[in-house]
Amino acid sequence: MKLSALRLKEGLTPLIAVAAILALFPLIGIPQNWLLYLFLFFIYLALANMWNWLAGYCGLISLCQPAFIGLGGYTLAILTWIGLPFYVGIIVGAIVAALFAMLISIPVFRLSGIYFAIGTLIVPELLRILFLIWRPVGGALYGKGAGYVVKGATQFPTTDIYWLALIICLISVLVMRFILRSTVGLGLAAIRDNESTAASSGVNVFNLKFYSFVAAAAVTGLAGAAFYISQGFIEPTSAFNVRWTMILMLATVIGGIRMEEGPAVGAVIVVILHFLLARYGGASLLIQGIILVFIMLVAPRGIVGAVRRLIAYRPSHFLQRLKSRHSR
Amino acid sequence: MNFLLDLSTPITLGILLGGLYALIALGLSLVFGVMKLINLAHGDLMLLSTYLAFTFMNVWKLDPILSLVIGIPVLFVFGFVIQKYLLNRAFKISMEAPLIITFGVSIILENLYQILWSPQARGISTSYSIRSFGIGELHIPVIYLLDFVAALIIMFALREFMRRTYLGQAINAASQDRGAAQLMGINANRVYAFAFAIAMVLAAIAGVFLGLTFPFTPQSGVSFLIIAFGVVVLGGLGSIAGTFIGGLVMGLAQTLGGYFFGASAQMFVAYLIVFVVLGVRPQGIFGR
Amino acid sequence: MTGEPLLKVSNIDVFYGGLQALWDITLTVNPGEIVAIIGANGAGKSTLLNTIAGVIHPAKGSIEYEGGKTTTLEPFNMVALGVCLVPEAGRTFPNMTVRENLHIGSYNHRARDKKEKNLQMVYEHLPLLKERENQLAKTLSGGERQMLAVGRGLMSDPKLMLFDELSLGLSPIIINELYRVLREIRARGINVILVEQNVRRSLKEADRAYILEAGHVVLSGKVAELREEEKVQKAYFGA
Repeated sequence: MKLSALRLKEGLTPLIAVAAILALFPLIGIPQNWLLYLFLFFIYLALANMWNWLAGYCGLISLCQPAFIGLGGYTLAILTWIGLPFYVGIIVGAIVAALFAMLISIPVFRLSGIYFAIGTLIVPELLRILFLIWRPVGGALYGKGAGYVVKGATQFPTTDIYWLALIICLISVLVMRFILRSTVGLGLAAIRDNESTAASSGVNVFNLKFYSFVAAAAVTGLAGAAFYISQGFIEPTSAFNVRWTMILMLATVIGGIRMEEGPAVGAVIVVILHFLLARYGGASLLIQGIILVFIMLVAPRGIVGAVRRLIAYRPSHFLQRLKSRHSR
Repeated sequence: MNFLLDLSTPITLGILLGGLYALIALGLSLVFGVMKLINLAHGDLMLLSTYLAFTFMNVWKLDPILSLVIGIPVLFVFGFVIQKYLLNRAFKISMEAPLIITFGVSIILENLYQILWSPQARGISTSYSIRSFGIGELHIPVIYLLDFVAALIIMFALREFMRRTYLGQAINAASQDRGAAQLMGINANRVYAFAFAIAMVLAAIAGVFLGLTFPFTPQSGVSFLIIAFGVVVLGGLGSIAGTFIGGLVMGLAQTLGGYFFGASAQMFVAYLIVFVVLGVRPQGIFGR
Repeated sequence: MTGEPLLKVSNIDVFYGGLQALWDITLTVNPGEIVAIIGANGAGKSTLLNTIAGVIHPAKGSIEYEGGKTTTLEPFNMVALGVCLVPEAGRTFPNMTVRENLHIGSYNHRARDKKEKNLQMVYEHLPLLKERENQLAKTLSGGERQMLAVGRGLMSDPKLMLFDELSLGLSPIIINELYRVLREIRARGINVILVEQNVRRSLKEADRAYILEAGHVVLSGKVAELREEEKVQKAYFGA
């Protein structure tokens, strides 16, 4: 796996600058609710980046991301009951999610198209039912199902949660950058174009998909764990809920599937939507569904895609390229 | 010996339930197998029929099976709109578009139902749907038997239609090789539209029987889809007999799972079997 | 038999897959004739047949059949008029039995009333099909499938049959059988357009031929005259 050092460094400075500024926010008195919006943005972006990786670049339209989110969250919660510190819980959460991804990849990778979609759809449902019945450690928050308090979450400082989410988000962005600008990205593009051709040119299709699926699950698990620290409790129906899939799908699609910056743009919009629609309850998801369908039909390349197209066709830009060609 | 007797209830119920499950899979089998349409909202369409029948029963005291007279056309219109204006465009956009779009439609429908009918669990009760009768030690709800008989009749009718009529054979031919079917003088578009109409009729009927048999919520569409898909995968596309056996397996999986692991585990066992079969033999036991 | 041609293709340009495949093609078939279209791979022979059958539509020019314009008609319309294409490799329906395949061949309304009669006729010409009546088409050999395709085409009660690479990849014995059937078809008064890579064989059966090269008709005429042509001798008979 080769890395083009030059390409990796491209645009890294602005990214680090932005991250540094964002990291300073809690220290310079940015209001709490803004920190909350940003926290959600970080989590949603991490999730969306991973989904973009799977669906956009690997051709794996995974509907089982809630499984990894919930597993990350539950692992964390359960470990807090055993008395282990949060950071252990988060990392183990990511590992559990990754292991689970390895486990289900065996049946699931033999499928494609709708079979894969249904296969991945079943997984969060299975976990939801499982955790409704099974109580790994004593005690429950609610009478129905294995709802768990995340012990000590209320003592966890808000700034720490914020930074945790920022770090996880950064990880997801760097992972995407790494993938897209190395030969891994080339291999993935080849697979998406024509899987059998890619295979005969020496791309190890299964391996690439497998590692992508597992790694994406790990990061998704991280994000899930972090989210549930801030929530303070977890229960099966909302942890493994299709609402998660809608969030990460919408963010990726609105921003632009298969675009590196797509999920970032989309995540901003989804956070905004989240708060605009919060008061409408059931209609919130309904509206999100309508937006999803609408965008897919009308602007399937999302905002970033539309902007890129506009830039490409600007006359002044065109002239500039002509000029630079002549001046060589 | 006692053990066997105890098992006789879940086994009988499982078999009867299997008929219903085969019924719900038939529509999906046509849509997916013949028209190669990828519709994640298929279960939610069935649920629409269920909620309509529920409304007719509660508001106008109209027997749900009679209400199919209205339910079927409604389902046909919804399904047609989704297919023509959403799916047809989706195919041309990208590989993932049909999945994403139908996922969106599924969410839209689920939440529409939640707004219109509240998240509360509902059931369609008629004079016959709540009765049960006894054979020896067994107590069998009448509705289970009705489901099974209805399923048998419909499967038989469908099979005869597919085998003996020119239109049925045309659907069969078009699903195997669309181009060659055209060369036989078959108007593939028209034949597909007809197949689609049949699929919607089947989905509507299935929805009504489901509503009579089980309590349902706005989220039930997903479980309808998974079960229907499981039956199709178990039995293989294109085989009505296979679909029937697939239905039996799913029905038994659910009732026996509930018997051994508790009522809350029934769907778990059923879903797990679907997942395992998908992983092991996606083309089904009878599949080609 | 009148002097009017049965099929008249006039100056058609055909595009396939975004690229032009045929340029200014003119072709006629007179009643009672077997017409052969020969040429190398990729010359456009299949495209021409598919256009006549209505699968592809020409961008320019017209097609007339029995005096009526059929340029924009769909394949199922053409079948109803009596034009039947037996496609390359037959394309029989794999999961249907031999009998079911034949049955569906009589789908068009003209043929439905004559189904039993035509079925007996097909079994007479191709007794092998009767033997294998209840076998699934996918279990047949390549040659048997081709026979089934021909039989299936006959079930549509055609007046003009188009054969796309009838003998491609088949053994000489099967090819002989198929050509025997071809002669019997002709004896029944059914017109034939034959597209073949097996030039020698097709020229033996045909009355007239068109030679296609890279989408253009380069030579055409009565077979007897064509054989004399030096070019044809060199290209196809190695003289």
